[in-house]
Amino acid sequence: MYAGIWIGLYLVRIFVNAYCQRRLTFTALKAEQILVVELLEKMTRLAPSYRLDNERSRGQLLTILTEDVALVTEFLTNSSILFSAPATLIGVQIFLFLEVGAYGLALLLVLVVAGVAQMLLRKRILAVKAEKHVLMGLRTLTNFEMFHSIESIKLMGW
Amino acid sequence: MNQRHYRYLNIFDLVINLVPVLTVFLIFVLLLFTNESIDLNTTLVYTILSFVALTDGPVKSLLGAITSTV
Repeated sequence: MYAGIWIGLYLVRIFVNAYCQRRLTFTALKAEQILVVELLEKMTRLAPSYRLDNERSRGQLLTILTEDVALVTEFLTNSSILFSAPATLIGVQIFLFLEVGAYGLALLLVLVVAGVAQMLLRKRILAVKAEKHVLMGLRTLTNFEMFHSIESIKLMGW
Repeated sequence: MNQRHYRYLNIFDLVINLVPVLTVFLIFVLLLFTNESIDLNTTLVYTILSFVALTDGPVKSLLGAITSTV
């Protein structure tokens, strides 16, 4: 009996999860399409003089705004996780509490410790990524300068 | 630099993978040490294992979802 309910609920969980993910993905795609169309419309309406007042060109501005739109899409796609993951964790905590009593709170302890560790690691990963990004920029610049110098030397040789 | 990056990524995965294992370990150790008369029968062990296994997916995805949206 208990096993039957468990399997039934597990299947319902899978179905609801997949259905929510599907709906949210479609919503995210729709939102992305609408935002991109609106963005392009607005950008084409910008006066050419705007570029003179701004540091960025219209193309650069469009790239930045498109990245923002991508972030909005990602947020909408991930919305299901923001609801389903905490709900699952709370559910598991309640199940464990009912099964083994206060010892089930070990899950909460481990989750808190793992969460803090993940946060710290994420910070370090982002710092290393930023450092790598700067170095990559420098390397690209050096390569460009080197190739340009080679080209200049070749021209001088000719 | 790349080594450091991959080391952090591996530790990050390790932390995620250790959550269910550590939880199960802690629960069983606490049960055994505090209650000597407890009978760790197959049903109890498998029930706890199935409950704790449910945390694997959320722990993997939650932080990524939070950091990508905030």
